Amino acid sequence: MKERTMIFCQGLFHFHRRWLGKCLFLLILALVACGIAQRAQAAYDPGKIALRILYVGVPGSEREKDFLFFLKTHFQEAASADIGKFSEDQANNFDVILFDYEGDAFKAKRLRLPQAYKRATVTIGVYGSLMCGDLRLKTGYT
Amino acid sequence: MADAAQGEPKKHEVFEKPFKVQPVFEMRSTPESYRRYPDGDKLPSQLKVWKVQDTGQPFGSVVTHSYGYEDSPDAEILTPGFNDGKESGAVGVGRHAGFLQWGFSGPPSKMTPAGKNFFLNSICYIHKFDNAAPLVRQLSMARTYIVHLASVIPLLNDPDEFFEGIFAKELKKIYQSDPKGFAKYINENLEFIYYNNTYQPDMELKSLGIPSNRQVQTQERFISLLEDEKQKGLAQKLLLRYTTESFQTPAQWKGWLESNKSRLYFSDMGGYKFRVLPEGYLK
Repeated sequence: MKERTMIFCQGLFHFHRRWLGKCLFLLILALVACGIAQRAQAAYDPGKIALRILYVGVPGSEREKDFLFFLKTHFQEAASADIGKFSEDQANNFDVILFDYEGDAFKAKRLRLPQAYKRATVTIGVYGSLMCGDLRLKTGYT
Repeated sequence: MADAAQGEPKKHEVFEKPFKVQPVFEMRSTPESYRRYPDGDKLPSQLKVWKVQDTGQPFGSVVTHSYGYEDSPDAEILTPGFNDGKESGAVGVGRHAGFLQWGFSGPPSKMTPAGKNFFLNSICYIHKFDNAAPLVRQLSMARTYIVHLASVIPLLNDPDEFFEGIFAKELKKIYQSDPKGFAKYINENLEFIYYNNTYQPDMELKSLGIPSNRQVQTQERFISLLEDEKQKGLAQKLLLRYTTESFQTPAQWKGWLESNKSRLYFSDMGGYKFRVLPEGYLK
């Protein structure tokens, strides 16, 4: 009898532990989701334009700092990337991509985008115009 | 290009939202270079401009020729840039598909208040064209630019190489000793210019009494001539020359035109061809 009671109690304990574990897991998940939502809400600034901008230029340059400061002031999110190492997948988490260069654009090694590239893009100055020319776009240098 | 956009901004959302662009206008002397281009002699002595940036440098920014820029519905001029190298109206800021070219070189700290708003609006505007592929690529130069190149030949010391690379050999033989006559000939035949590795007026088309190679009615005329025993060979040749299609029977051509007439456009820059705008493209 004593043995049966013990087995029953052990079974009850395991059953509860399984459910307790599941409940705890769901609770943690809910808390994490809540935290993420709160953080996102805190980061969202209604005074800024709801676009995520990637500035691709010369890293560490004064020009990059100038653009980034301006873009961060006006847009929900702005980040930068190196034009010498740019790959298309870097654009995935952004809404608009800016391509820019500091220095003599005619002498610079140029980023060649594939013709299939069609993300919303702003090309800037002579370098941008040469990039467009490589893609045979009307915005290209003529 | 210098620091300024030329002329009053056009009525376009890129000057309205999310920020109102309020240019401060000033008058500047018309650059001498403008006079060298078609209709340059008709420009006033001063032109209205507004500063987009204040770099203090008269160079460093860039404009693109305006000729043929808007001959396909996927491209638009947003503002001409005031410049001293190309024509009046050369493009300072323009869009082709999902690319917006901002020709001004200055960073934001050098932009004027109007320039900053224009730049921010440009970023917002181009976002609407995310994933928009171009309808045409630049395969040839627009006819107005060809007229300009012909007009430059009389000014060159050794025009031979220039001539050969751009214009048909037959034309060189005829006009070698008469460059001014050549410029006049090209200008007079503006509506017939086409591209086939080199540029030349299409005298075969002109011989049919058709006024231009770039009107939709031209296609209708070609197709009606397919029924004419004497002209059907030439009509078929011209249909192949000016479209990207390869139909062989009048019924096929008629069917194609009937289905696509309202969406046909002609692009010099896209290879001097009629092309069909994809359904719903302009919505």
